Amino acid sequence: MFKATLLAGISCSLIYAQGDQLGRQDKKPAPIISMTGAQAPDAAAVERGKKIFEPACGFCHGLDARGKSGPDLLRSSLVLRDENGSQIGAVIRAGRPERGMPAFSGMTNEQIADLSAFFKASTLAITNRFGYEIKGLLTGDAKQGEAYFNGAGKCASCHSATGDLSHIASKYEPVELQRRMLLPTPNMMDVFMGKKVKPPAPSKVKLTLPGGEVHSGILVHADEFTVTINENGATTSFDRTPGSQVEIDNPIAAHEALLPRIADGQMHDTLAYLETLK
Amino acid sequence: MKRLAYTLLLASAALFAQELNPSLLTKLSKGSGWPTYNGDYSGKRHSPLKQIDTKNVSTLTTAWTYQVTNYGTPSFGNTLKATPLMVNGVIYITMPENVWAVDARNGRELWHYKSPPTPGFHIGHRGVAMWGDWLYFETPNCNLVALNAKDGKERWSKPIADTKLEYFCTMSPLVIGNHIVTGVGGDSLDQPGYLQSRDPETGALQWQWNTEPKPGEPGSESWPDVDSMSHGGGMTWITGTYDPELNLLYWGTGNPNPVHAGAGRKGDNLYTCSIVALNPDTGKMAWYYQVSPHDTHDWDAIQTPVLFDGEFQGKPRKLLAQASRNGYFFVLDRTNGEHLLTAPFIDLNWSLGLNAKGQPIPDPKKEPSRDGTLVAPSSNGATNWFAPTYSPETGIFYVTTSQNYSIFYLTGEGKAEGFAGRDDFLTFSGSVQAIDYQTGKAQWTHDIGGMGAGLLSTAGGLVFAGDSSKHVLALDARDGRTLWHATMAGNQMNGAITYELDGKQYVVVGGGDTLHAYALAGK
Repeated sequence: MFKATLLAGISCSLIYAQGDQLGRQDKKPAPIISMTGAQAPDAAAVERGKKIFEPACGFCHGLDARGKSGPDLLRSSLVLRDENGSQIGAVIRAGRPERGMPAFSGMTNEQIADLSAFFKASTLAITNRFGYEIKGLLTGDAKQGEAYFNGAGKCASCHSATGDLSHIASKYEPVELQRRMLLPTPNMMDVFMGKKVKPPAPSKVKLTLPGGEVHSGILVHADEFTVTINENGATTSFDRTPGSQVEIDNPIAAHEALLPRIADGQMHDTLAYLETLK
Repeated sequence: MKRLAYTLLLASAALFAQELNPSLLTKLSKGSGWPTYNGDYSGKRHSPLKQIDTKNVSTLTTAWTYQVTNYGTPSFGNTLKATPLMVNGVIYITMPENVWAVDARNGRELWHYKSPPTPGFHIGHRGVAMWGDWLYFETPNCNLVALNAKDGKERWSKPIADTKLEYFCTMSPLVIGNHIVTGVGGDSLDQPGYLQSRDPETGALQWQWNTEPKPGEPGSESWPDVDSMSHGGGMTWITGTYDPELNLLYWGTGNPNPVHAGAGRKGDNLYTCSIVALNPDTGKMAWYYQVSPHDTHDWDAIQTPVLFDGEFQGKPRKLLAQASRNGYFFVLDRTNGEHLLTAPFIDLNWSLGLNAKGQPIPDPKKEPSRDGTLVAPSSNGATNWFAPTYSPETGIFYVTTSQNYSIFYLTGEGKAEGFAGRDDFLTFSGSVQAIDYQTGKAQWTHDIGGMGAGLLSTAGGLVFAGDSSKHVLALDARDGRTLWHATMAGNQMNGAITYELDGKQYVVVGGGDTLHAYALAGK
C-alpha cells in the first residue's frame, strides 16, 4: 500500500534529520555529562563517604542527605561549592551549635574528602537525568491489554503474539518495549548520545517522473525538493520537479495514528500483555 | 600598491566606525542594521527592507559564506544558534566561549575572541549585545564579559551566576539605556531563576528580579512552603522585549523545579512559566500572566513575547503575543497584562480547558507518572526557543511548531530533586505555521520535516525559514508557498537577519557552523 504524503516520508527519516540538527552527522556527539564539566568522583571514596555519612549524619540529614530534621545537604550552596572538603571541613569539625549540629572535631581530612565525594556523587545522580532509572511500569491488566491488542487498538491487524511478537518481552526492557509499542523507532536521545540503536523499518518509495518514468526502491531521504532512492543497491537523488509524483509507504503509519487515540490505561494494559510474551 | 592602501584605509574605517549609540536603539527598524538579538526592541523580527521581494527572490544568490573554526570545547552540536548582530558594516556572531567579528560585505573575519575553556553546559549560544563601542557576552560558566567591538579585547568580566549550582548561560543580553539585562539557565538542581541588570561601564549590579517571591510577598501563596519556593526554578534564558513608550521590559520565565515532580510544590508556582512586565530602571514587576500554572512537563515560557499594535475585536490595542512551548498561543494587552486570546496551535492532550483568565487548566492525570503518561507535546514543546516573527503587512504571527508526543516518567526514590523524571520522545514533525492573531487560527502551515529554526519576515512579502534538510527557504508570507531555497552547510537553528549596505540588501543565516549571506544577483 502506498501512501502519498510527504509528511510520512519525513517522519521515517526524522530520526536522522533530528540527529543531524542536534549533532553533526559527521561527528559523533560526546555524552552530555562530560559537557557539564562535572567529573564523577572515585567510586571507592564515595562508598567510604557513604559509610561515614550514614551513622554520623543520616539521623538528622537523612540517609540520602536530602534532609530530615536537618537541612537537605544536596541543596546546600556550601556543599555544592565544596572541593575535597574545602567548604564543608570547617563546618563538620566546628559543628553549628546554634542550630543543634554537633562538632565532629575528630574527623580526619581523608574522611572529610570521602564525605565530599559522597555528596558529589549524590549530586551527580540528580543532575545527570540520563542516568535516572525508570521502573515500576507494569501496573496494567494483561487481560484488558490482550483485548485492546485484538480489538480497539487494531494491533492484531499487523502483528501476532505467536508470530513477529513472540518472545518480544525477552528482547526489550519494559521502558523500551512501551516506547516501541507506541512508535517502533530509535530513541531520539539515544541517537543523539551516540548509542547503538536499532534502525527504523525501511520505507518503500515509488517516484513517477513527469514523462512517466518510474523508480521504486527503499527511501533514503525525502524533503520538499529531492527524493533519494536506493533502487536495487544503487542510490540516486531525484529533483521533485513539478508533475513528479512521490508515493511513500510508511510502515509505521498505524502507530502514528494510534498516538492521539490511545489512553494511558490502554497503554499500560497493552504493555502488561506484551510482557507475558516472554 | 595604491589599491592595497585604499583597501587598508577602508578596513581601518570599518574598524573605527562601529559605535552603537544606545539612544538610537529606540529608533530602529530602518533596516540598515541588526543591532539587537531581535533586530529591534519589539521582537517582531520584521524588516522594512523590500529590495528582495516575492517577484525577484528566485534570483537570490550567495554573496559570501563564513565558516567558524577553532572554537575549542565542542558545543552541543557545533551549530550556530546565535542570531548575528550587524552594526556599521560588521557582523558579530557567537558560539559557547567564542565571539567572531566578520565584515558584513564580504564575510572576512576581523577578529576572534575565545575565552579559556569553561565548565557549564555548552548547549548553545544565542548572541551578543552592543552598547557604544562594547559587546556583552555571556560565557557558558555565566560570566558577563565586556569586549571592545573594535578588536575583541576583554574589558572586564563579572560573574552573574555560579556553575557549581548548575547554572549555565547562553543568552544574548538586552541593552536598555544604561542597563545590560542578563538572564540565566539551568534547571537540574532546583535553583531559583532571576534577571539582573548591570552597568555597561563597570558591570556592577543595578538590580535583580527573582522569579520566586519572598515569603509573605504576593505570589508566595502559590507555593506550599519556603523550601519549595526558594528552590523553584524559573530560568530566564531567552532575550526579552521592550516598549520604550510604556518603559516596560517583557520577559518569559522557565519551568518550575523539581521539573517533572509537582507533588512537593502544589499550587501555581509563581512566577514560573509566566510572561512578566518589569520596569527596566528598577526591576519592579508591573504585571504578570502565567501561561502554564503548575507546569510538570518542562515547558519553559521563555518564547519571545512579541510586541505589536493592532486591532483586537475592533479596538486598537498595544498587544503582546507568545506562541508558548505548552502548545497555546496567547495574546495580551501589554499595557496591563489583560488577557485577550488563548488558542492551541497543535493537537495537545494535557489540559482540561481554560479558566476565566484564559489560562490552561492542567489535567492532573497527565502529570508524569511511574508507569508513564503519554502527552502531547513532548518536553521539547510545541515550539521552543526559535524566534517567531510578526509581519505588520499581513497581520500574521509566524512560528516554527512541532506536533510531537512523549511518554513522561517520574523516577527516583525519596524527595524529588532536579528533573526527578524524564520523557521518552516519540515524534518530531515540524512546520512553519501562520497564525491569525485575532483568532489564533492557522492561515497556512508549511511542512519543514523537523523543528529547529527561527524566522524572519520582510516588507518584501517574505518569510525566511529553515527545514531539517539543510535548506533555507523563502516563503510567500501570504500563503506559505516556497519561492526560493538554497542548501547550506548544515541545518539552520538560529534566526536569519537582513540588512542593507551600499544599496544592497543581504539576508544572513547560520547553517551548521557556517554563515551564509545571500543577495540579489547584479545588485
